Amino acid sequence: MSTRESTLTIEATDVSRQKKLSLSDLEEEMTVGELVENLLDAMRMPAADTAGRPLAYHARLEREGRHLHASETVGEALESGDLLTLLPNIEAGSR
Amino acid sequence: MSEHEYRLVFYGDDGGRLDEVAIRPDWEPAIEWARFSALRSLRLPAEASGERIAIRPVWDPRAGEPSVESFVVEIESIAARASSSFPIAYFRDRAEKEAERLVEKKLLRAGDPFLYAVKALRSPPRPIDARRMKFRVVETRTPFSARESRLSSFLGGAATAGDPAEEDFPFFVPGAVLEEATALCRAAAERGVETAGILAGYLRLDRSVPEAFVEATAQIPARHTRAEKEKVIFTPETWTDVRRVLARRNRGEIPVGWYHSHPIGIWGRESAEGSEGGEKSRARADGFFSSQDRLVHRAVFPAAFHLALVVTDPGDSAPAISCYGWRRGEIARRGFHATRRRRRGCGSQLKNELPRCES
Repeated sequence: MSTRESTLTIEATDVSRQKKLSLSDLEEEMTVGELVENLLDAMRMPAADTAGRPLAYHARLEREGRHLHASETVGEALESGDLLTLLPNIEAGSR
Repeated sequence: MSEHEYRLVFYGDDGGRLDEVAIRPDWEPAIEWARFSALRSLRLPAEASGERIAIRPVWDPRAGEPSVESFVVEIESIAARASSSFPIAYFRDRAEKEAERLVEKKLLRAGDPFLYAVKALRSPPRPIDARRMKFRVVETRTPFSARESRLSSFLGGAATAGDPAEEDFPFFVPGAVLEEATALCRAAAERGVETAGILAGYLRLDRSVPEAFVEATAQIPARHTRAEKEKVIFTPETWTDVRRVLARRNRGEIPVGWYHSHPIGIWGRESAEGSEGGEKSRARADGFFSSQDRLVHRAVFPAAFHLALVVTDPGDSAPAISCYGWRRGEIARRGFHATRRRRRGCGSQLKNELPRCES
């Protein structure tokens, strides 16, 4: 099955809003989970906690004010001009 | 960005070679520091566009290539060029992580001292694997948007605290904000848990010096967290809530850092049942920034001007505040200035609610 690239152009940023990526040529069948994984790499953000376990990041779609589900696809969830913010589930503590 | 493959070479305390591992360095903190250093000294213009970044090893003068003495981050924009150098101590955290693997491989015993050196090998450019590219990416940076201010007006009447270092940019926090944060941390400790919050404020620039500095104006309690005795877990909703609060304040503030508590007085109570908690309390009573804390700072507060406060609460005496921030790409304990300055408007947030502001 061939994947379809879309004409979608979106932006992604992190909690601090100091970094922004402009993304284009996204595959419509790509899931949000895959998109987040690729974004972490592109934004050079830590992907694992101190014990080596994967850090959980949610993608918040600012247009709708909701966190996207990892199983949603790019084609289903996003429109051109959308802004995604990567939000981590992360702990501070004694270790 | 870097045309070299970097490797760590490990030696035992006796100088005997133990192992060599290839690493993919986390260059981001070094790049952030280099950029911020150039901006704060006006070596680069504030508009961030068309930057080219290169990372070059500086060879050890005695051993020569490929032994690395330090490395340089070079930033080139349309208008200007700037660079910052970094010692190989930059790789220390990574070396410590890799040393854990040496223990697993029985090349080192846990707790044994070790030495490490850094090598950089020229690597051919890797062909782009089109199958791995899921989309096209263009990175942009938020422009360095600092409010023009006079540093001297902040220094007057400010009390210096913590561990100041010459290359640190100044950081000003109103005493009222410190009191609020401390009170929230003490209240949480009395409930048997840690707590945290975000520092809101401004990045400022005094061109006459030149110097950039940070002013915290308020603390925003972190909501939607899961608080436990020895950790506080930030959820995605925490960050969304902070953005919502900043938008409602409508003062153009940005997150300039965060704070959280270390209620060592609670940890110390474990000593009645075992010695570990008591020993931990004694060793850390003056404040520390754990590996978990460093990860939060790296993941959420990666800009070179981002700061962290830790409120260490022994329970039976006044809490102490220590400050941490980026210095040459590493997180270091640093100083800050407590001011009496209070911005017109926002007041107490002791009740973990939206701020009540006097207009």
